[in-house]
Amino acid sequence: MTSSTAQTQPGLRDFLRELAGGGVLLSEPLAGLRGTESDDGAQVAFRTLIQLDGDICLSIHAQALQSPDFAAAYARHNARVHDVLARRKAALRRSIRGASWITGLLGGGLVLASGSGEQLAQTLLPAAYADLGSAGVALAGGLLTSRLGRLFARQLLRA
Amino acid sequence: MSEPHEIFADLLNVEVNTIVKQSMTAEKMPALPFALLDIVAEFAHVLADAGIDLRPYLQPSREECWDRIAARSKREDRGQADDDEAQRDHIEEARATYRAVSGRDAPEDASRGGVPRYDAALFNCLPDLWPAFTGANAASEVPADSPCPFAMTRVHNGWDTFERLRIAALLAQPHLAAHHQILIARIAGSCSRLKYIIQGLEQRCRRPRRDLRGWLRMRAERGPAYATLEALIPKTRNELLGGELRHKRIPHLLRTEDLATVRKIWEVGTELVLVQTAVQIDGDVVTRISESLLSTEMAEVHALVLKAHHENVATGLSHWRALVEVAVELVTKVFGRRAL
Repeated sequence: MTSSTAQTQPGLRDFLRELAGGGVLLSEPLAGLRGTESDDGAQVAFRTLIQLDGDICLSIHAQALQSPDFAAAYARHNARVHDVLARRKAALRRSIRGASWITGLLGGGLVLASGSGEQLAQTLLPAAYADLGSAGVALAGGLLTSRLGRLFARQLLRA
Repeated sequence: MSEPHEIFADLLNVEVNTIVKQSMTAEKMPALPFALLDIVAEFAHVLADAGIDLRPYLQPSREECWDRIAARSKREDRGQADDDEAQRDHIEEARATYRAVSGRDAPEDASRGGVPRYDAALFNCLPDLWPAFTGANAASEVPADSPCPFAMTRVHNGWDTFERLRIAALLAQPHLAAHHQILIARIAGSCSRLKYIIQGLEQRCRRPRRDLRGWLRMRAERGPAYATLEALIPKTRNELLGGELRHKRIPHLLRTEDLATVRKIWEVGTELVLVQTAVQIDGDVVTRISESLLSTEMAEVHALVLKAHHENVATGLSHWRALVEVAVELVTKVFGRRAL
């Protein structure tokens, strides 16, 4: 559930958490609306469940409907829903775009850390060019890993 | 956890529902075993309010239900089948399902006279429980006009609870007043879907998964203990709250599409959906408006509800468009532009 008003950028982790929870839930407290009589502070005026397949379920508290503030409160709630959805969409797109960079950097980093790039460069190139060669091997490793990641994702989607 | 491609598996239509509730909080859906019990309690409450006596359906144990079905099966052998439903041999069908699901023959338990223990799993493969509650096993006359008191403490969250509620609702439906009909039909439909999901879960989890076994064992030894399915379903609320379960983590048991179904049923409950809009990818748009929204009692607010629903549909469509864009971007990234 996501009902906080925090303005931090959501990431893939939030998306997966929502996936595990079956959707995003946004709510507005009833207490601030004129003409509502509830003593229970936990009561909410609007409750919107947005599921990941696009389905939406809006629940409206009967007392909120009678309030003169209904239109303004609903407009606020709706704006918040739009805002959260826009941020979720941006986070998803960032995750997709970042995936190839992450796999590439991971592959390049592994080549550098294991020292295999340096060994290969020393074997193939003169000593003066070893550093440059090592970086080149790491870059090639990164590109290869990125391609492998793409291949893996392709198989996953085809499955 | 579900597979990633399931996220985009249900983008062919969008459904937007608007409901008015007398009381609601920001409570999120609890873990699956508790959510199922919430749904059972709500459905049972509405059925009891409609005058349906649920005790004849919910009191018989699984063993009693199995005995009734086995007895019916034996009567069929002697040519005493009393209706079309009895023509099917439920136990043979359960055995066939067990074979199909597990890849081996169903175990016999001679110590209980052929009645399978619950962990023998054959009960979970029964196609339905109709023979346990119809014909010679018919429940007492329904409905009574006065609401029936009903205790939920002994009702568990297994598939057969939803099956029992479904049978109770369907058998009583022809006798009920018109204003109950729509809600009863929805409860029967929801129970049918939940029965299918939970039964599938119980069958799936008993399949030998050789490829995952080692990894799961390793994970169980290293990390915090996860509750097993048997410890979660079928269980009553008291059973879930007691024992060692509170010190264990509850795993994600359902696939994304099934979880979405459970979440929607839990969210909507037995509330009246005032307006519903379904938009399909081929361009069809269907909007249903409840008669109660057009009644004089709601005359003052129906414009507000319709306006809110209209804005919600716009939100839903924009969210849907965004999801499709993301799906297209993902496919483009993975398969390259030529694929499009």
